[in-house]
Amino acid sequence: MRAGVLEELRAALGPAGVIADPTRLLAYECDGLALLRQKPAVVLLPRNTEECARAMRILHREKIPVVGRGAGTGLSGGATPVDGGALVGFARMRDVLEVNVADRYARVQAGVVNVDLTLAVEKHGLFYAPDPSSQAACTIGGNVGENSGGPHCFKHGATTRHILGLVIVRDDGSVLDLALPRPDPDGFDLVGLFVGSEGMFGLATEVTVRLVPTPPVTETFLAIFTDLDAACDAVSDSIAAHLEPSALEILDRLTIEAVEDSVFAAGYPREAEAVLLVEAEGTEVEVEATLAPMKAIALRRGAIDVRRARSAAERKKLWAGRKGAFGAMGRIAPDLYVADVVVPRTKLRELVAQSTRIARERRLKLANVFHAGDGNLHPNISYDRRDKDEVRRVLEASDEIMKVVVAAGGSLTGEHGVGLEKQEFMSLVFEERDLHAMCRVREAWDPAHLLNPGKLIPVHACREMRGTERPK
Amino acid sequence: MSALDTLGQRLERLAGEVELARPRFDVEPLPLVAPPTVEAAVELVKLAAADKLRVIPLGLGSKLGWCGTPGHADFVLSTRRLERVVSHVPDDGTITVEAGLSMARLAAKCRSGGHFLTPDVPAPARRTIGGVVAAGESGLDRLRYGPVRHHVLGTRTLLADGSLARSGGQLVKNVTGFDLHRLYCGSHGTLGVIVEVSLRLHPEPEREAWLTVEASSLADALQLTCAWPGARTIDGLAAREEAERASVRQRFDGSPHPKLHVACLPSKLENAAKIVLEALANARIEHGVALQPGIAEMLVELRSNVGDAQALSRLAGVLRNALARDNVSLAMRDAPRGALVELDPFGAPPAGLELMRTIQRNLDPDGVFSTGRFAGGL
Ligand SMILES: Cc1cc2nc3c(=O)[nH]c(=O)nc-3n(C[C@H](O)[C@H](O)[C@H](O)COP(=O)(O)OP(=O)(O)OC[C@H]3O[C@@H](n4cnc5c(N)ncnc54)[C@H](O)[C@@H]3O)c2cc1C
Repeated sequence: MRAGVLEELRAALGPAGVIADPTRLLAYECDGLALLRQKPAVVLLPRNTEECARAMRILHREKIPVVGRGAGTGLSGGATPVDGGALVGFARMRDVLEVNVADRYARVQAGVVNVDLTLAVEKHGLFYAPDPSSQAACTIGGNVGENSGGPHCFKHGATTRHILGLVIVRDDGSVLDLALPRPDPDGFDLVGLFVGSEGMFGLATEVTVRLVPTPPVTETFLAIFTDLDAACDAVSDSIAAHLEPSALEILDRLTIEAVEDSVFAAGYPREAEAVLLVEAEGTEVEVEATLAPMKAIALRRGAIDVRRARSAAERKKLWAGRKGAFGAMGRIAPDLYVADVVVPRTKLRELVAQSTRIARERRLKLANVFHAGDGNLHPNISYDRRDKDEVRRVLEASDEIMKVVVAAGGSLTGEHGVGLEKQEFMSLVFEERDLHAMCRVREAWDPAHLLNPGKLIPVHACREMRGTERPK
Repeated sequence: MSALDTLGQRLERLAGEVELARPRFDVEPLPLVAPPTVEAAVELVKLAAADKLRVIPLGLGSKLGWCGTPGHADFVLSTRRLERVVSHVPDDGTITVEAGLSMARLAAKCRSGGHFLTPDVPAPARRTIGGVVAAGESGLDRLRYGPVRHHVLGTRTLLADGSLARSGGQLVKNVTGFDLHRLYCGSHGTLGVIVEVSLRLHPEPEREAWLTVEASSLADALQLTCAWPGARTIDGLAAREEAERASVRQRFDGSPHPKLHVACLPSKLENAAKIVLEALANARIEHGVALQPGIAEMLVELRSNVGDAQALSRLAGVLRNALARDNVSLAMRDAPRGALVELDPFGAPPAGLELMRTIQRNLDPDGVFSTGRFAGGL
């Protein structure tokens, strides 16, 4: 970084808004994908859109690459810093700016933590539907970056369905104000395009989100299986039967053990090979109409018991267990590799079994906890990052799982994004021409490739782009 | 004329028949081709790219009147013969079809698997799924299911260089790659031709009921509907003559009259409706109204006494100004071209128009699909 730039940034953001001390920078060298690490040159923490824009203008002038960071809980390396680049964090942008009860939306700063948003609107009988398991830490800006999902996205849809507007600071520090919500976009749907762009189109500083009325009745039950295949089949059956509960999650034995041994102990039966967590919401009639056939399917598929949560507290506990599952896995091994693939819901059993086989063949410990209703698998592999050979086997297993899934009509990622992790696998699902179109659109947002460079688009596709499309 | 003839012959070689069609009701007819296969469509676009021709993509043409008058255009490319069902997996709740399949046939296909097709649009036999997606058209069921863009899982789009680019996929959940399909949804064919669409399906409702309440005045009806988000006010429709349901779904489809389309946040609709209806009453313009407060949308058909094109343009301008404070949008549909000389049918220039232009230019440097019909002259 040129001399004087740090001072200029300090003047723009205040001394607390600029971190350049090497030991403090250590905290930012990776996101949830701890296998990849890179120390940033500087971390910037703006307090509002204006400050963010000021910082971006300086960075743009200096041609310093920029990576946005919410809470850094991302699992695909989306927030991994770039060598010599700046990290713009949103930890100081945590204000809920407006709650509009009549029209059911809220406007928040990008750094608002997911769960805080729901807490802020609960009293109005509303909630923010996308609920990643990391919701106690992850930010709305990060959710926008990844188009995150969560258990209840089975019914309500992933983040993109809930974003009504954005304020975006562009690569050059100009501000694109698309905050005002309207039923349909004016012109091209820039907001829809931005969601899931993994920090490569700009930095969202403010987000307008849709709020959903709290359902009058919510019921949760746990179906207990002695066989993981049977739990998968129960889910496939319920999709085929057109049932629409609000969440359909599966946890396998290893996950159950880890959860029950942790502070998240939820009362999942340890003797089970798998549990299916089902929630339905709506009026009493709707909930009954969903849960009764769900229960019948579970029993037909061999569930040994179906337990309904008897109180809100019990329900909360079941969910705390589910949402704490990744964290609880820490008890099994120091590191956890969270895979994230999607399969057609007709093929759950087959592909869950395949991932298990792939891990077993490589002597790896694999636990499954996943958004079964959406076909979104998380084969989680426990490992120790100090064991080089184990790391190699983990990555090999993950590659193999992706290949098998794609071959069966599945996709690389359902909610964690491509980032650095899956970049080179993009060519498994997309052809050169598909990637070219993506590159061209990215060029419109960020012609100098300063925003989260080196992510998502496989390197070879980009190189080709530069060769053919960008005359010097 | 001879240049047109050669183009006609070349188009004919690639696509079979060429007819003449008007890209809007009041502009000169252009050659229209309906390629029988996606491959033939690719060849047509390659021809356009090579000769720097401009193309207007089209399904069955039901929404051409939503757009402005095209600048220069050389031919119209209709997807209506691309009607294949590429894959239908009822047990996964997904379907992928070619864009020219009519909404009626697509709905029947979905029903065969126990699913319901959203959006529930009027006159589904006269609309293609590609056109509905490209225009971002909503149905009566939007309150429950949301806009159509939420159900599009992926697209295959024919871009200006003749490449067929995929975005998204066929799965109900997927974040692999940028969501370019969101860009194509609602872009009215100004970025490329959507040739294939994958959709998420919803279970067919077990039962459906319609409740009709007759109000003594439009004002009463407005108040009543606005108090009950699921309701819909219809005024001035010959409801008795058709099946009740068809009339409720009706939105002046196929009517030649100019229309005003008002959209806003739900809490703003009642006031917006008052402003619009008052202005129409003052100007003694005879009109029909379909109003849906749940999705904050109102469509007004201007039937008579509108005056000339300038008068219509002035009226829309005045209303837009009056509605701007509440962030209410007012679009003009099926307005005569004279009314659109100074007025964008979609409204004020959208925020981010420069970026939109850059996106369009990057995807289509020679402007094959940039006929200026969309918002802001895109
Ligand atoms: C225990 C655990 C459980 C998880 N469970 C789920 C789950 O159920 N569902 C799910 O989808 N994910 C889950 N995740 C992944 C992760 O929490 C989500 O991807 C989350 O949305 C990331 O938010 P964040 O604030 O941490 O963003 P970060 O990780 O900091 O950033 C994510 C991406 O968004 C970009 N970004 C961040 N802020 C902005 C901004 N303001 N503007 C533009 N781009 C920005 C970053 O550059 C990066 O590319 C889980 C992670 C963990 C560790």
